[in-house]
Amino acid sequence: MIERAEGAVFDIQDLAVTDGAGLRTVVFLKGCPLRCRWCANPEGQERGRELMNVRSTCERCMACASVCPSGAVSVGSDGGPVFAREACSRCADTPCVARCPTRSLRTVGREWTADALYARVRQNAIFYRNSGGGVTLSGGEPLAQPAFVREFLSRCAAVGLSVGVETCGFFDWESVEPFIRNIAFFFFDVKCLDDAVHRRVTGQGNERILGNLERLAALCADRITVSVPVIGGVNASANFFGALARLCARLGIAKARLLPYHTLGVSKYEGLGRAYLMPDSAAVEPEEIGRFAELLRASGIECRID
Amino acid sequence: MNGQIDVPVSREIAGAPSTANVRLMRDRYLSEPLYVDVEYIRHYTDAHRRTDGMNAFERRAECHAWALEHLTPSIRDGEPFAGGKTRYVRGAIPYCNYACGYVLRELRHEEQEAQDSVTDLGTGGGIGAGREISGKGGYSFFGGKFLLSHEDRETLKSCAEYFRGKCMQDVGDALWKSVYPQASYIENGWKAVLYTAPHDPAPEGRFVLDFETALAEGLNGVIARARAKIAEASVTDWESAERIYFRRACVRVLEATIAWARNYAAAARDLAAGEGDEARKAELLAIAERCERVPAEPPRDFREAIQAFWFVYLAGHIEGSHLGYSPGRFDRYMYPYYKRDIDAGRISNDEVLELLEALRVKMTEIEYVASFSWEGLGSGNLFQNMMLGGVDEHGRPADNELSMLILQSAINCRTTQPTLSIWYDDGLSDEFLLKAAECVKTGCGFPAWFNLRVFAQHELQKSGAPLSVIRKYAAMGGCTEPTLEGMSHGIVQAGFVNHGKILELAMNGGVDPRTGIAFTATAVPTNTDELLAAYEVHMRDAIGNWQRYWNYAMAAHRQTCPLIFSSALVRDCIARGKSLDDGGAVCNGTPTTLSSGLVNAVNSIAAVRKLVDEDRVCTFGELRAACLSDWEGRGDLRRRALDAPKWGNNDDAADRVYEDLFDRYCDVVAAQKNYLGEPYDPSMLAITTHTPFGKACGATPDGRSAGDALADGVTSPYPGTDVNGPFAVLLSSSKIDHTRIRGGLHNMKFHPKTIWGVEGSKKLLSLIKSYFDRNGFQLQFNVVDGRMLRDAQARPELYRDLIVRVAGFSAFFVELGKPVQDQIIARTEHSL
Repeated sequence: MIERAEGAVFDIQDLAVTDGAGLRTVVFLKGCPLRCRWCANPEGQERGRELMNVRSTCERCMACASVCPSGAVSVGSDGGPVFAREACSRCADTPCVARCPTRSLRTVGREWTADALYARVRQNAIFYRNSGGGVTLSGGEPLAQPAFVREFLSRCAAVGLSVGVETCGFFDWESVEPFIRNIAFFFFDVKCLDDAVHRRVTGQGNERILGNLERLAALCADRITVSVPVIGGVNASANFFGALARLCARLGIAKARLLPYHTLGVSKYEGLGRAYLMPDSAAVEPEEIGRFAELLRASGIECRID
Repeated sequence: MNGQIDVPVSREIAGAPSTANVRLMRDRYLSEPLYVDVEYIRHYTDAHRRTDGMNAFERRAECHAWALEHLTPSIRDGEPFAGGKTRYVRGAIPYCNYACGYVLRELRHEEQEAQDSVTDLGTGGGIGAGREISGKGGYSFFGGKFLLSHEDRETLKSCAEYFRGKCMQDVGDALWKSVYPQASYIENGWKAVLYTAPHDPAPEGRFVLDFETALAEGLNGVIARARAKIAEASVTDWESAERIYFRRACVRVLEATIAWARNYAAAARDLAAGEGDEARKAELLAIAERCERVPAEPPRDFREAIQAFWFVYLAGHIEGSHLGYSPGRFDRYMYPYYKRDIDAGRISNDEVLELLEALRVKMTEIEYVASFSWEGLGSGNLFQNMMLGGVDEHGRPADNELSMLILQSAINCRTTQPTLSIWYDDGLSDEFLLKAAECVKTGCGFPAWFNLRVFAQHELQKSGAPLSVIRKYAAMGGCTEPTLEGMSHGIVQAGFVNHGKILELAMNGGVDPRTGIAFTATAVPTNTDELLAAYEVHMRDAIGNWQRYWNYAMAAHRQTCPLIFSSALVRDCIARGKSLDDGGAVCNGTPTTLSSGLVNAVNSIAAVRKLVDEDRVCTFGELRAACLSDWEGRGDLRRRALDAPKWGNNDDAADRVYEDLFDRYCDVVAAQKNYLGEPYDPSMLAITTHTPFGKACGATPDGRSAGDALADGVTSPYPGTDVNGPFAVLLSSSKIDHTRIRGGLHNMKFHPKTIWGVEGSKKLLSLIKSYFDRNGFQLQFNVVDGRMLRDAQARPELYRDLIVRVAGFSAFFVELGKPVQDQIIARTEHSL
């Protein structure tokens, strides 16, 4: 079967530091099967293109409202634009965006062919070559677009360019398995080992995730780093990290990274017209995170805090 | 936009002075106000009054020598070696012999107003301390930040009045203003801010003395060489007579330099006699002994070598208000003295480190005062640049143990000067490169990184010097302008040309919209090609006229202020019997032309091409009108202008424009010759000119608003327009042929987290190597987070020693003017 290898990408960032070895470019793919409440990249959740309005730079000139053919923009209580997203007719030329004088209003998400994406990153070859770096696919959930990823990986593999993947683990094993050999490393999220809690805070249970982790570890445990966003009320407990250590030991996974919860993505929710549902109590003290890291290290796991 | 860190993160590396003495020196510096010291100019003026009719070289030598011999030596607690430019910790000499007009204007308070209109000063640190003292009486303010005692004020006034009509600026003005056909163009250029203000008060620098020889022979050795030449000469024509005069002048000044050092020996003995602390007493006696011996005789150990270097270096600084005057390849020529002592167990690395840290404080103490519209541009920095690393004459990596200690001294002792720079070569050791990266992480802004290969290629084409010489003597004379150490001419054409204004002239038929002044008449363009043609005309005239003007100024320099001490210590002046002003140096091609704001011109031309020629969304006339009205009512057009291709995104649509303008610029600069008959050598740097230049420019077709600063640096993108990330920025920047210019710089700013740990350092080094592999020339980094800088603006008292990279130099953040502070904050912060 020939699939059209086109993917949705919502951002490309060079000089990523915590997403693998050397100088890297991180490609953020759009669309994710989970809805983690703490997600710092809410614009990566939906597969389709979205409007985002940066409130801090918006001058409330309402030029966007004046050009909207569907009347989907109205004046909000602060005098700034409010977007009725269900009424938006998704014009191809987005006149509302084109008219914004401050570029506060923008569309998030663009379709790329694998070839075009490869052409974009290959320009940076000198940086990857000198540093042992490469590309990291993140998201969203990159493995939710397996055909696109597979084709991109095959381009990179032809020139020996390292490509790593950051995954939430919720993907279709059958479609991903054929190109696992072309992925240099995985940052594999393990957020919660309790299925019910997992379902409550991410919208999905963790059965498939843990199953994928197990299968992947059987193939290439040495390429896996378990990645844990440390969230108060979800997994910030010695119990969880103890269980995680045992899981890693059983699967032969020797690396972990902890990502402290932060609220830097909150304004994006506002820009997308969505509500941010995490309680303030989600933040965890650095000392406590340090103790969790020590707990993992005590089990022989190499653990860093990013 | 993902995971952007915006919380204050402390810097990974923060050092502290390694000894109590250095801490004392540094803290003293940090709390001292700035003073104008009139002692030198008073004695200089006295000598000038009684030497009328003397040969110009000998008169200049006599005045400087006399003043030097009469300076009051100050030795302060904690100092391990002696010597200061003035009697104050932070003192500046007002060189009325170079320019007296600004001094007189300042004394009448006019200059202050002119300065306030173009530059801004900070309010923290030494500037704040001065404001407190001046409020208590006995002192008045000079130049917004210097204290001047009431008594000295009268002395200064009398010196400045004496030099009316005699100083370099007046002599030069009397020539060019009356006979140079383009004189009115130049004066109009100042009014329209096409140029920086006249810089006669500080026209020199940008060279490095031959410290290697000065130390190895001792000044007595140099004197002996000059005397031998005099002895074997006879006058056969006017030139042979001039050679004798020049060499006699050298002898006079060198002997005075020795006498000046011996005054310090006497002062140290006096202090020792009254010193109760036995350890300090012994130290003072040792200082006295060293000052007795050096710089007259070759140093016998490292401590003597440091004292000798300092005297020789400082004496050059006293001769004139040098900007860019630098210590060069210190880790090369000082290494033999270090190595000998270390091997013999005469000194420890800790002791060397203390000396190097003390040297940092001493170099930072040197201040200068100039016409303030100019001084504000440099934010007070003297651009002293110490080069590390590089290769030896055979091309082998030249980093050594002393290089490591110098980097450590900068980590420990945070001062703005000297700035450190690395001559990058792939062969440099990991230890050295990682130590240099560690120094970057202190956030001090240095070392800056320079690609030696690119400079070598430039120099091979330019001077044809042997590769072995280039490798061994490649140094930096100023923030980012390479020079060959100890053999190059230092009088630079230091005016900056405003590319933003050139663009406005090209758009508006040669008339400056802000002042209505008409320059060269050109047709108002209707498309990109016509705009480019007009741009080239105005660039040619603006640069060409300025370069020619400066030759007139140089003629006045030769008559009034020829450099004697510096000539004696630059090869091959003594052997040739010619001063630097007469072409005595081996290389006379260093004068450069400097420019600022090219990125805005590039982005504007790219926008015109997109909007007018390609998309036809408006006519050129509409775009021009929108700029003249500062986008009033044309938010739509401005939005399209902002969306047009921009330099720094690895987008050929904009990058080719840069390449094109860059080549035209280099051609225009090199088309004329300097005062010594060598083609001008193009250079590009901006220091902080982009702020006042931008203030004088209306809106530009790149979407920039009227009055906003222009792009800083040379190849750094305009803030906020580099949307494709740092790799794309560097790829754009590497497209131009950096071997065509002598110097250039590129600012990058990192969040501390981005380069954390050894892993982060390696990434930084990979980034530098990659850029240099693509033939980029220079990179420098600010490692600081925006939150910290904003906090420092609000609470300067907590950030007294916060150092940031401004342009080709570093400065104490709280002493910078607010617009420059804002610029630094606005520079894109590349972070995870």
